[in-house]
Amino acid sequence: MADMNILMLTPLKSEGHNFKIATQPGRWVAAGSSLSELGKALAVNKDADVDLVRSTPDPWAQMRGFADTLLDPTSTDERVIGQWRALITILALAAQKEDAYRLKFEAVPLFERDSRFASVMMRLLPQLGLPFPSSQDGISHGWDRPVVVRVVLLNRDGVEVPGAPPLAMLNPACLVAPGRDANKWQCPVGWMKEGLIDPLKVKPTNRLAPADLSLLLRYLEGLGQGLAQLCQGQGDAASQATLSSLMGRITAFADEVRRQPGVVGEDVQSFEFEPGEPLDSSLPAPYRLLATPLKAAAPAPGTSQCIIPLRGDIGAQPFKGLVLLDRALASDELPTTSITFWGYRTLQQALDMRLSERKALAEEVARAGFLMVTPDDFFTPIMVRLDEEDRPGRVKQHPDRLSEHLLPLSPLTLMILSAAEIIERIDLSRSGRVSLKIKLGARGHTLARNYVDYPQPDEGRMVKEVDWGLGDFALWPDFRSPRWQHYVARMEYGRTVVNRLRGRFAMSGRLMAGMLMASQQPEHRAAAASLWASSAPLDPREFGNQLDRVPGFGDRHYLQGDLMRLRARDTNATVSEVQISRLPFEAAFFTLTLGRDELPVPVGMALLNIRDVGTVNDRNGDVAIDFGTTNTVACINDLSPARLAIRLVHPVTPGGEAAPAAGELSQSLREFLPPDQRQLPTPTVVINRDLDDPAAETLRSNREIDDAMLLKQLIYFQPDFASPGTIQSLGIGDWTTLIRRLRFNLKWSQAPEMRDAARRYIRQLVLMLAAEWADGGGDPAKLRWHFSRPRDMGDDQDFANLLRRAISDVIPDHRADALSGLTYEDDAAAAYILNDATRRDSTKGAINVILDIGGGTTDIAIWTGGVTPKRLHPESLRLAGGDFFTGHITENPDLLEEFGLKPWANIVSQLNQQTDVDVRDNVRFVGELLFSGQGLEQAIDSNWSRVSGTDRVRHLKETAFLFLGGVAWHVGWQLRQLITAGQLVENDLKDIAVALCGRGSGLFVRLHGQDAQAQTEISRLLKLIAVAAGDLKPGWPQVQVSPFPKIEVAAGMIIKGMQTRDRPVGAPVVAAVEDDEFGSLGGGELEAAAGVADGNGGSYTLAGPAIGEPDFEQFLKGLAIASRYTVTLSDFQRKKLKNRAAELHGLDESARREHQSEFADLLKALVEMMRAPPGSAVKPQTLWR
Amino acid sequence: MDANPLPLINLALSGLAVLVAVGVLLRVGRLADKLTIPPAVGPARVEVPPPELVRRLMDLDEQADIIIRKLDKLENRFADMAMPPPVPPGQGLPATVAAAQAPALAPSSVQIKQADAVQPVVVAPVSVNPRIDTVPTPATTAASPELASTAPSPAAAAPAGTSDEDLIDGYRNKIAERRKGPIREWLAQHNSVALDPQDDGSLLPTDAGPLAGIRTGHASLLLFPTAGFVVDFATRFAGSPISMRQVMRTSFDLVVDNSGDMKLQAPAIARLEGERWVLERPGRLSGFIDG
Repeated sequence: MADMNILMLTPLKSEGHNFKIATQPGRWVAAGSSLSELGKALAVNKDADVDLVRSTPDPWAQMRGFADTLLDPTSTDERVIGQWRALITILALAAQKEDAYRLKFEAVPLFERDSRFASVMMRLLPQLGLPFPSSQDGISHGWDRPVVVRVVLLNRDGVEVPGAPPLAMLNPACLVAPGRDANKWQCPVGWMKEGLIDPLKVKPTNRLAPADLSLLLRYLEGLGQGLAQLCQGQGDAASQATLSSLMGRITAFADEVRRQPGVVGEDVQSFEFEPGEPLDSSLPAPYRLLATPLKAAAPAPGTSQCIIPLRGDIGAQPFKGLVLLDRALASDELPTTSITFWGYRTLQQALDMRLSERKALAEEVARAGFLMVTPDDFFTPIMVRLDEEDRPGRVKQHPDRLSEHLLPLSPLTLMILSAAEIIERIDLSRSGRVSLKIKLGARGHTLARNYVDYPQPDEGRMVKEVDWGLGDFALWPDFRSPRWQHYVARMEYGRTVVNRLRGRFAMSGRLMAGMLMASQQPEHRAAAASLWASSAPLDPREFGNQLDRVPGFGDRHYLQGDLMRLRARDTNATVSEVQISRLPFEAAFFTLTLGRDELPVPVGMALLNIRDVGTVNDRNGDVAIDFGTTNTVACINDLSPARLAIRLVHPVTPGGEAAPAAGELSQSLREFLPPDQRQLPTPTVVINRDLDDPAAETLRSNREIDDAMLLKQLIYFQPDFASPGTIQSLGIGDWTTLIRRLRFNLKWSQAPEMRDAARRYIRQLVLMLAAEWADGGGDPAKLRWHFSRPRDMGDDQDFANLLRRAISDVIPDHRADALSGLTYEDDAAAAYILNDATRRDSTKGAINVILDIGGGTTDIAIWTGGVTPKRLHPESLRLAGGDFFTGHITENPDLLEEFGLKPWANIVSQLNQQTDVDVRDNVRFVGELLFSGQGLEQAIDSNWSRVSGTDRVRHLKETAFLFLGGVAWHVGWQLRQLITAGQLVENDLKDIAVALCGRGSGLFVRLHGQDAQAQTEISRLLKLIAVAAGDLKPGWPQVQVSPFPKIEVAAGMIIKGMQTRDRPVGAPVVAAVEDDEFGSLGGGELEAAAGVADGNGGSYTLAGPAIGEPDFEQFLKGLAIASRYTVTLSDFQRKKLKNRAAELHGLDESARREHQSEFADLLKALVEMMRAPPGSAVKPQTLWR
Repeated sequence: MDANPLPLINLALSGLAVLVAVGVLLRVGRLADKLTIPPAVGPARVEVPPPELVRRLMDLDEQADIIIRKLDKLENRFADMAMPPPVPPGQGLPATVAAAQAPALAPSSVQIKQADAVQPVVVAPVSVNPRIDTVPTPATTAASPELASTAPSPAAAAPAGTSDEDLIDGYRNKIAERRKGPIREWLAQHNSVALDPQDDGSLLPTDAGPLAGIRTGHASLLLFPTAGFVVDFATRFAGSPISMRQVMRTSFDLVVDNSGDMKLQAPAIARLEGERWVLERPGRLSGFIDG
């Protein structure tokens, strides 16, 4: 063959050129001349057929030239190397990208072709080759059977795009080489977008994904190993040299892949790969090695460089994390194509996805327990600035630059950052760019959005001069503690108001996590969390599928996990909602309506100013509550009345120097908690929440919601109107509207709904008192609760059950002896009065009488003196301040005018004339409400010296003195029985000390003063005690008063509680009622009445043995002496008196209450008659000396 | 032939401006006297004004500036219009215009048109910077500065040509927008002054009272709830008459319609009584809820 001409060219002219005749097929010889000279050198017969020109130039030239260049170790031809790498990569990723393209192989067995061209090709077969072993299956892997490769693209539906041109050819020299049209080849897929070039040198946006690079690396390593094994010991030196060259190219390629970002290193994802199947099993073994791509195994969940972890402090993690799709994650060093978004998908790929594809990916991510998010899920579309002209707002918790803005963040943010972290990580630039640094990977990431007046598509809108209202959104309490689990929010907003914040809900990361845990199966939690992202408008007019961020709120209530929520009222104009949580809130969320016909849009959050009390101490404590007829007082661990601190939290507060007008909010917040500090006592009154029909129905049908704290009924905290003008301007309609919603007489009413109202009242008080304890670092579970009751209140067990339930509702894990027992009010008062530490200038008498004059009852206790006083007699009269004071004033409202309270007088007068029975029956309680503040006290203080002698005040004194004298007489009668029984000696009557306790004693305290030894009209009146007991020459009794009104019973319980604080846990919860040590004292022997002149010239008459009508007559005589006025009853009035006394007796019977004495009934009846307005037929005639 | 009122309006405006200018001169001059520490000779007759008074003066001065600017605009607008035919003999000023005799404050040099002649009126410089508003100052009042000196401030009038009905309708339209800004703007355009109702029925000018008073006559004001009250209504007042009374006192009667949507049925009216504005007749607001 050596001298055989090669039929490559037409014959050369014999001379006139420098070309040599080719003598060896496939071996190229360098020619120093140009193609033009070559043409001239051809000996072309002018008559020859065209087909005689068989090949010009060599048909293998493309392949051979490419292979020679590639396999030349010294060659640096980037184009050749790049194309080869590109083809290798196409082969390597064929399985991984099976949804993008498909490779088709077409073998061309030249030896089987019966064509001139094939003949030429066969004759010119290149001799260069790798040392492949001989084919085992008879299929040639040589140049005589090249394999054409086509890349068939698939459209997004997976259908092949027709017209794929031949791209390359598999060959035995460099394995694969491009065809002639390779330079023109175009492909829209990933790294191939730039044509057939080195995939490691494409633009950043087209780079191979980390997963692809890893796969390519593994492929190259496998290819190298496979070739080495295949060719080991095969071929001659030349072919081994060819192999060595090719291996060098493969190794170099692999090394360069290894150096790509995201392939190896500490912070890179690792991928698992599955061995692939040959793309074409008919390929000969060496080519099968080439055409057997790997495929990445299904990525492990969480194979992503875009994961935002959930907060670690939200308890159990409801799902695994968030996967952030954000182009801003990329950098020059780490382009989107180098960031693993999910599995083998890059961030760029995810960004390039169509909506449906992205949705499918999100579902895949969610199935793995992650939530796919974008920055839009964290930022609200609108950011508001609270710089309204005459009501600038401020959010104290926010960083300075954001203190007059809401943070434009969705609730989802609280799943990844705590409030404190948000404060540290959020910022606002001058240009309106809000940035938030989040935790993502080792370096973190900054989410950002621009807020401008006129936003572009990727920007948010800045809305300025947004209005807000103090009290529209209020929360309670102002602290959080690991031992506190009652957090409440109230939101009200006007439906029609535009450009004003609407409070929508309060939330925390922990609360959201808990709700997801409670409401969703694990596999659904991540997807469900998307509800907390910010995008859709909230609360459309009708209840849609997405009322707000609280799922399941469509039927206006939600009750699950740690959250209870109710839409209490929803009118065309106003919405009112309440939200109660066992977990503290971190932020309040708002919406805004920008136009009357526009739906509200989310505008972000105000971080809440809620203090963390820190470590909880294990101190024990005692709380005592004196649940009174008209007012209730309590003490917490000391002897002073408890103060209920201001615990309302306003997410937005007035900016500038304006202070919150707390006083003006008291009424609009009356269905929540007081906006100002309250010192007990406070009226024993509840107010019914204003519920619309659907909300009322919800409560009827759902017992748990009905019983929720602070929902159905709340303690009514009467505002202590700063200015009397408010009362003056109130019409009667305003009062009756209010009164209809109030519930009085909680202590005594036996109606089931009223017992329930009483429980709710006590429960809220327990809640508020426990909050005071918790805020000081205490553990509410360490508290013991002491309650008092009058002796004749009725069933202890019923009251104890009510209290036990109230305590358990507030403190589920309370100590076993949390309810310390019920103490009789007189005993409790005695514990205070007889305590040497609490006495001031008074001393214990031989006989100590404690009169605890409340609103509805007067508790009487008689104690001996000495170091350890003994209780001799307890008793409770249903006759008290409500009868002689409040009742008198409400029936004689003109009296208020004396004290400069004409507006009050007008109100009471009008209420007295109301036809509405409910209103009229409660006039006395309205009076109590009015008088509960400082207004009356201050008015009396200011005017007393001027008016104390007027007829109106004298009439009040008549009623009051009748009461006090009657009670004194009653006490004296009991003393007489004790003397008769030998429990006291008559000489003891010379040393009587009387303590006046309770709010009902206020008038007497005023008249007597603080000096216990003072000889006043009150102490003279109290001489009747001794007189009724038989001492016709009574001395002046000491009269002791306490520093705070109504504190004695509660303080006494604290004293008793402290004495038993170390009592073992588990002792009886309800103390047994002490037996009367002396048995029944139902009367004694009649002693002869005797008139004895006292120092004032009058004469007393001894009491009879049974405290009844005869004693009453004697009492009236005694009263005339002690009080300096005589009461004269007409026959009509006497009949009226007896009839009324009988009526009272019957009322006790029907109420199943213990009967009072006839004397007590007569006294009550006469007090009622005495307080009648002047001119009334029933009002007895009085004559003052 | 229909009478064209423009010349008369123009005349009225000019008259107003003159009155204002005179009022300012008298009032400011007198106040300046009061604010000036007397000469050292003899016992001091006037005490140094309390800071509160100075603040009030400055507030009044601002209000006066606003009024003047508005009057200037109106004046210019009318001046730009074609001169209307003369008023027939015997035909007086329209009632609404006649009522709008609000004194305005003139800048130190104000061009005041009088009929078809324009003559510069130079107001003498005053010794105290704050220029204050005055009550309507008839010629006789000018001779009695003591009375004027203690008069209340809401003396600016609604723009000329605005009847009570127009005002009420305009207000209703604005509150229907339920947006604070437009209401506030409308009230400002009508020279309203914020007032705080007192227990005794008097109305004190304040920065943030719940009432906006718009002058409709020599001695009468229409009282409207301010923008703040309107937007607060749903959440603070609709269900709580007591809350409403705390800020409004007796200025308005409440109409319970359980809508929660505030509507003005009638504005309250105040009258000038001696030196102070007092509530003459309460207005009527509906939208209250009978809780």
